[in-house]
Amino acid sequence: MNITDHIRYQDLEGGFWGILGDDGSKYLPVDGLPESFKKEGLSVEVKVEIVHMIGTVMWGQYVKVLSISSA
Amino acid sequence: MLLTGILTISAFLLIARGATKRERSPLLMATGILLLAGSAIGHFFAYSSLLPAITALTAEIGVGLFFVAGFLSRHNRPARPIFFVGSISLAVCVILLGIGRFSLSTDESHESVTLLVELGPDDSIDEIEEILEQFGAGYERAFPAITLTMDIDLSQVYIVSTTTDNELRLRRALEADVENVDHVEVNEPVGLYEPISKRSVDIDIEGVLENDPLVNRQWALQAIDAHKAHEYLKTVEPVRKAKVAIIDTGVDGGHEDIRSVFVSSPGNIDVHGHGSHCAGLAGAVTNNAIGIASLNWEGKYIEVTAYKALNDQGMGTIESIAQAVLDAVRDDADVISMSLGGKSPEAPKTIADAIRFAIRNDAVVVVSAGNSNEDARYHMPSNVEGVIVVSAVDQELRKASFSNTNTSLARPITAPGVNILSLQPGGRYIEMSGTSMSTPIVSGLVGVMRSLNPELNAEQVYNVLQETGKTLKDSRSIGRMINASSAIEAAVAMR
Repeated sequence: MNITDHIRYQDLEGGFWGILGDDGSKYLPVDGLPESFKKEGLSVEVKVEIVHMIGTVMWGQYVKVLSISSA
Repeated sequence: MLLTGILTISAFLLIARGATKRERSPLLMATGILLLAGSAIGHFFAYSSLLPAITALTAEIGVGLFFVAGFLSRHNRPARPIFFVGSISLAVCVILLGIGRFSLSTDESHESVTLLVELGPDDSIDEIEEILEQFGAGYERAFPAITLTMDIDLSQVYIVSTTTDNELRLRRALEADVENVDHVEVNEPVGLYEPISKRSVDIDIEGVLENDPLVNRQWALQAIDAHKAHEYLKTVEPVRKAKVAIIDTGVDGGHEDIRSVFVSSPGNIDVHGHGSHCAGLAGAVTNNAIGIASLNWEGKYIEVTAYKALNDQGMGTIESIAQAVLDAVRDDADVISMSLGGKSPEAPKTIADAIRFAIRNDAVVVVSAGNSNEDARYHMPSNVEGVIVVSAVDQELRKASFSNTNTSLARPITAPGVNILSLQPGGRYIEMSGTSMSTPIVSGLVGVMRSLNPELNAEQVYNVLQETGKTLKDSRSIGRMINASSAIEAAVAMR
């Protein structure tokens, strides 16, 4: 699945970086994001695969990032 | 680019053909360099990573130099240096190949996957052995301590190991075997994130009873009437200590503020920190002149134990979470606190079965509503029947912006979940936000209620929380907020 959204830092459950869409859709990379993409508001094009998981963060849809680039 | 390269090399060769012997040498060298550069660029584009690209390149250079050496040797020209360089190139190739194979084998180990396969009540693993052998899959019982009479579903669950290549086909084959297989699901891994420190929120604590030095940073105590509850708890005695099980990343059982009430368990180490934070909120020793306060007045009402469902790298499985629930039931937990979850319209069957098993065995299961600002019915395990689902409020007692709503589910309740101070491994303290924080606050209250009145069942416990809870502006979407003082007094009145 390809998505074009923004990188956002979420200050909850200890803090993490997620991908937030203008429509409110939320994607949480299970392996985190590369350091160079941990920038608040950065617009990105991401190819992801949805994974069904359980964790402590409980924010949005867990995804595996297959590729990511700046939009 | 390719066309330009080919034309350039062709031009060089044509010029070299008509050039004198002296002029030909640099032209041929330039052609060689161009070919080498083109080959390198081609390899780096063709391969997904650097290692296989360089390996292929060194192999081709080595073979090429061997040809050149052979050609020179045939024309009685000095060939040894070329042969020597070619040999080095091939040796480098062999070394890189070895490294590549090692990396590949490491990658392959990451590609193993496990399935949770539930057989029918009267079926045995032998009946699906043929399918398992066909895909080279191994197996073991997921919950060997659970017998058929204890739970008809969980006792028949097996962990089947395979590789990602075979996963889909094996799954289809097992699902097609409707005579023997009731359910198949992937034993998914779990992701976690590192904790960070937050700002502190000082509050006025004039006149409060507790001597815990950090109580002035715990706004939640005032919000849930915990100070008043402490005054009451000072005057009564528990029937027995209630056991609160924290299913999480483990708990630092040696932390100064929980050590004396912590029941040693395999989960008494917490590298990540999330589980320790939850444990402190549920049962940190109160009025001990150390750290924070919880509802566990002088450590008399609650003992805390930990079940490590998630590993130190923040990864776990459906099976490990279900196993942790079953372990807590085995150890007679009164309350099972689960600050974890994931987006899913329905819970994985194995976890749902484990929670149902816990409820049948008299445990009260308290779970987080989730942090996606959506309906918790799309979040598991909050959508499992019978659990108390906890949302979060901020200091203004409004729904926390991130909190899921919970009133579409049967047992909604809410508690503070923003800037909540609690334990951090290594004797430290940290503020965190999330429904993970509001959940153990409720679990601690339920623990105190059951220590004063062990006969209370899950339904009665929830009814007390609901009836004594404070109605807030957002209660329509997140339920009432717990009132510790009123709930504890009501539990005692029901004895």
